[in-house]
Amino acid sequence: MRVDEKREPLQEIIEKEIEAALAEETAHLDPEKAAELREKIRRRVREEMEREIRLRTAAERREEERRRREERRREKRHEEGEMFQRFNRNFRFQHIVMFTSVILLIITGMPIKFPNFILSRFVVAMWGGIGNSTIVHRIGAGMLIYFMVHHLFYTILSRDGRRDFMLLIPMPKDVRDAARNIRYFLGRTTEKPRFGRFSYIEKFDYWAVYWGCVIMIGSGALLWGESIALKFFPKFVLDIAHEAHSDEALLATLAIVIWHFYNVHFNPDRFPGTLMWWHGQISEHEMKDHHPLEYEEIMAKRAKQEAAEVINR
Amino acid sequence: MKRMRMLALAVLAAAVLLAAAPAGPAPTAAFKECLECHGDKSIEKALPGGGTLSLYVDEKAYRGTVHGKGACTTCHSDAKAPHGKLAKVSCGTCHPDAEKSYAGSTHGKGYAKGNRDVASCASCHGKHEIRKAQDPASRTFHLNIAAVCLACHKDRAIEDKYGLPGQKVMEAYEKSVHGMALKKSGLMGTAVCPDCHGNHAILPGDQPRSATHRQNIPTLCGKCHSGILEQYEASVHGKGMRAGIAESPVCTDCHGEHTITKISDPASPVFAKNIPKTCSACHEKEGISSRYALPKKRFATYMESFHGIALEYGMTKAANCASCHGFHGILPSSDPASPVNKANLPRTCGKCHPNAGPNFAKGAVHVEVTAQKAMGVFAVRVFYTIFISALVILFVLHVGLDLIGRWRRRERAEEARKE
Repeated sequence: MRVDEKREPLQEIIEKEIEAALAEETAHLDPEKAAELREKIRRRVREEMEREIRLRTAAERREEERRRREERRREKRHEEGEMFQRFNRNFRFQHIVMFTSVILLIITGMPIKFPNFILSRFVVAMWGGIGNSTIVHRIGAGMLIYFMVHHLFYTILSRDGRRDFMLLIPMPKDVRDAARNIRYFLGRTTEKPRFGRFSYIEKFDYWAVYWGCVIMIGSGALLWGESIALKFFPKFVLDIAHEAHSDEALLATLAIVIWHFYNVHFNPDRFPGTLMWWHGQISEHEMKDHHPLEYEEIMAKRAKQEAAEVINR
Repeated sequence: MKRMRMLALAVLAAAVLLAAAPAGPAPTAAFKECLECHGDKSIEKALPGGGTLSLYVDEKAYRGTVHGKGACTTCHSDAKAPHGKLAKVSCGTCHPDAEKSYAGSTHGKGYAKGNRDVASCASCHGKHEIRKAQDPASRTFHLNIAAVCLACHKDRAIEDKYGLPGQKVMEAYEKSVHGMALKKSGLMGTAVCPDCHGNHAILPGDQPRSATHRQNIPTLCGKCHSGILEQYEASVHGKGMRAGIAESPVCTDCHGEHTITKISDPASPVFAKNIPKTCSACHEKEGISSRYALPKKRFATYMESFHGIALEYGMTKAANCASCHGFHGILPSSDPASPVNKANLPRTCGKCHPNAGPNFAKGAVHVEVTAQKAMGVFAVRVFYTIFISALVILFVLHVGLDLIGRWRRRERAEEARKE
């Protein structure tokens, strides 16, 4: 709404200008006719202006809003510098679907792994009994399967997806980075490892989800359709699936709670968490700090582009 | 309502008969003579305790009883007009069989020893107002007798004095499936006290001749539940019981006694959720499982399975012991008729898992996670135990080192600023 408010003074200025022009143009006419004419023109102009305002699309308004927000942010925290779009909307959507489903799966699954834990009974009761809890677990499972399929298509079909996938493949540099990071932690070196778009920490997170999804969806599908699965597999295969599902769930939960939560929430740089999962943006400052190689790459690309533009001009 | 109307009709018919009755027994001269005094409502005797005892006999009421045709002197044989304290009435003169079985009962033995708290003939049957047990107005009528027994057996003083089961047990009967059938529905078929405990020959359950002795329980319950008795007799428990193995469960071991309730009642020991506990009360005992060479850890492995956990959380459709093993007709898995015999597993599991085929029989049902019994599951568990421990150690080390590094850098920066 602030966009419209801002418009008001502009509207007034324009009206004043029109008013002045009208007065000048109609000065030589007789006053009665001039008044009539002025009124007519004034109405027409106002109509046009209102129509113009209405026609501005929602996208334009959002764009303006974003620009203004960016301006305000720069005024307030100029040290952050420019904002870069780190994660696109599709990727953020996948992340939201995944963490919603994983939260549902953990809180409905853990009481089954730890029935004697003090909170388990309470958590099951929260859904209104074990019957509902198992339904919610299957809803979460459905969401996770959807996420997995969506992500596979995203990796294959989207340009960003393909690029990110290539950048996520573990490289020898990651081992060197990890070793240097440990030395940095220990104070053996003052130089931080220089990460590209994805550090070894993030790569680990990514592949942990991959591995987890394959095991959990694979074993979970057997247990979900136990009746059909038993047509093809002997019972002991389902027992193994049950054990793997249960153990992998614990591993995934610990990986999320210790590894992922530390790196994005409890880390003193980020506590209690950033909104990057929502807007997908990263500041220049953070970019230089955590992803210097990517930053340099972007800057190099920009310089090349600008040079090309100069030549073209 | 219908019963009430019948009752009213019966009473009316009796009254008409009596009123029009030269056909009825002519009161003997002796009877008339007695009533000259005892027909007076105000006749009473002072008791040594201070109170008074009415000596009035209601002729009309007495005529309606089973002894109504007799004369006073049949029982009070030493009565003469005017008389002092009469001799004790002896029912055994006419009812020798009843007296004989009563004398062998716990009540009778106590009475013979001079204990006057115990029930005598009159305590249950009444004195002048004795009616046939089939008569709904009788104290010993099927629907009335429980109240007669409870008159003493719900009395705190008597319970404490003789170490009898407490009031709670008696109250439990009133809330039990049998008690409710009696109280709420007035079912003639329900079990009331003498149905299980006997009447004249009543004995405590620890005596082998008692109807409620362990060895007699199946037969006793089978009097009414004969279809179930038949299944039980064929079961491993029934056979064991008949062979004299005292550890074999009888009806009451699973269902309870006075507390017996419907299986749909969550308080019942055979309610779906309580079955694993009820069965494991014996089957988890080291002595029993080793003496009869039963497979071990059945309860623990069940409670670890999804069935056990879901049941514990209240999902009563999850399989419990009885869902697979059966209940009254339970058989060892080696018996080809047992639902848990390998050959029958597809059908048994198929009750809930409709596509169940021969694959169900491949692998243990009670999965004991050891290398010998379930290699696959064991391997997965070992792998994950190592994997999870290793990763968690790495995570914690990495996070810890990061934090320590941050702390050290901050300290150093502060020192630098001070200088």
